[in-house]
Amino acid sequence: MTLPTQPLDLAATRAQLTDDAGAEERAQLWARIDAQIPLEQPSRRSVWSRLYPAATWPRWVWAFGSAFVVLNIWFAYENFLRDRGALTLANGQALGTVSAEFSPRALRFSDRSTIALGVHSQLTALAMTDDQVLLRLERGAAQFHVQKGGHRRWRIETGLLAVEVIGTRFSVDRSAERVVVSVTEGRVLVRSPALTDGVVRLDAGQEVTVRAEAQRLAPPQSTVPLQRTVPLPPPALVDAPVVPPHSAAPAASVAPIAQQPSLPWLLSQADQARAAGDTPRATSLLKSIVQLYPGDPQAALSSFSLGRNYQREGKWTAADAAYGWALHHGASGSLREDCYLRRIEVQLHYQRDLAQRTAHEYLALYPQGRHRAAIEPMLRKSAAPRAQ
Amino acid sequence: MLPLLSLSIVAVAPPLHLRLVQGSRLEPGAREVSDAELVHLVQSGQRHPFQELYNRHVDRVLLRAGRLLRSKYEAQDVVQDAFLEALRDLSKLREPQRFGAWLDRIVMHQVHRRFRKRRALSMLGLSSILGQRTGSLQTQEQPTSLDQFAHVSVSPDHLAQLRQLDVLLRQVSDSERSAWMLRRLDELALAEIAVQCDCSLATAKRRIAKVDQLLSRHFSFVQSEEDKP
Repeated sequence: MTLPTQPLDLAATRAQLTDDAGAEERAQLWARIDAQIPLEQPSRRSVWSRLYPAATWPRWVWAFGSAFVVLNIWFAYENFLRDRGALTLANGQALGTVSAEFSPRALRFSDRSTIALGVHSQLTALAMTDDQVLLRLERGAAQFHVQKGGHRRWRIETGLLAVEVIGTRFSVDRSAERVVVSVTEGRVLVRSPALTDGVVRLDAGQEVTVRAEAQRLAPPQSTVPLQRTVPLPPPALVDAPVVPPHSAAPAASVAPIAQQPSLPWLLSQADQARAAGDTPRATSLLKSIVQLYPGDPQAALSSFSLGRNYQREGKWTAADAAYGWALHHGASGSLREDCYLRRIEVQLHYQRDLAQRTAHEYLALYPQGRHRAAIEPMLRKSAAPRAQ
Repeated sequence: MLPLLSLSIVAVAPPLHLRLVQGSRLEPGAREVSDAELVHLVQSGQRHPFQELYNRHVDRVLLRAGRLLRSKYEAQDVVQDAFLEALRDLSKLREPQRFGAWLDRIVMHQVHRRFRKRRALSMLGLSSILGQRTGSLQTQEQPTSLDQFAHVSVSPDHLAQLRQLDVLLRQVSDSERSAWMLRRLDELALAEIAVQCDCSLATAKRRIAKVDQLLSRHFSFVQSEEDKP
């Protein structure tokens, strides 16, 4: 059902509507307007407002102007207003000594940085100033998330080393034997007397270990297992190769070859250690040379020197292995003859059969050798029955 | 002799703005001064010609604003602001002879600003604030219906029709009602409506057509070809 429609005459409608507001209303309205008309005429406005009236400014001027103002406010807030003063916990309390004995514990700070303390851990705030946060991890492990963009420099002391950071994620694990620092995100500086030049930079994915007893450093390692490209020397020589602190220098990268110390450096360090009478260190460095550069001509000489060290320490089998390794890895000339001589000497101490065999081998190879006079008495001695 | 007489008449005759009677319209028989001349006088720093401009255009813009806002009080506020704005920006008017159209646009700008303010306050549940400040809608004044703008001589039947038309126009949005009124009651060109409503020509047509469609259910209303979107 549709309702009947009535005609709408727009012309008549327009005619019915008045176009006269009335003299009284008109006068009242003019009085209101007149009261607000400024005495100063538009033509007397300032030169600037006449040249650049605000209403004629294009929209992009307003947009850029507004953005400029907002950026300035933000900059002022970030740099001068927000989070000034000493760093505190999120609840406003100052951080003292915090322990987590039986369960992990999380600390939240006013700048949104966090610390997750592991079980049996203890952390002490040494100084919390406007521009520095100095903490000491007494024991245990802790994960740090230092808010990026902050103006405070964080320093975590662990005794063996100290970690400096501005904004990153990393963890510190301290025990009586060693301290491990591993970086998840960002970059930190680790300072320790055990490090070469006292400092090493760690990037994301790297970690460093400083051991208390040996004061030695394992180089920065990638969390991804590395593929070794250098063949290992005989097992008898490789018990605990030492990689010197030099490998933890800032230039270290995750590439395995780049983590190796250079051969000249190892040789010079070994010479210095030997000259200083530091035989254990010299032995370790020589073993590293043998392990890392087995194909180098210097490796045979290093192995010979290693054997000499073992021989002086009375380690006959180890010395025999070192001389044998030198003979099998390119020792030549007088060095080769020396290897035979020293090998016979040490073999006489623990297995005369071997000494006899080595002496016969030498005499066969070098009938006129320069050690013939020394070796022939040894051969007779080895052939003689042992005194009861 | 004649030139001298003419010069004396010109010299004795009061300047143009003094021939404008303050607070009223031009005296009967006086030469009709164009809007452009008045605008030039105002731009030169004189003040009385602006009152003449006011007298010439206030009825039209006041009633138009009143019909659109459905409030005489708000219409007075809008017209007051519009004339003050016009006086302030008169130096930027490039075509003084089109002062009337320019003033209409300022009024419509103010009217749409009122619409936006109403919507914002309504969304925030603060509509009563607008009524208290302006003495309109919710508190002191009931919405002014279309029949209240009619001549006193209009018959009761026609008043009823205007009231019915007003009731129907309440069902559409402010922008649609504005476009329709400017077209059907003020007979403005579509291009001018688009400018005053700050929309495209197609949008203006669509808004008018929507209201026409609504009214056609109740009135036998003829739609012109020009108004079809």
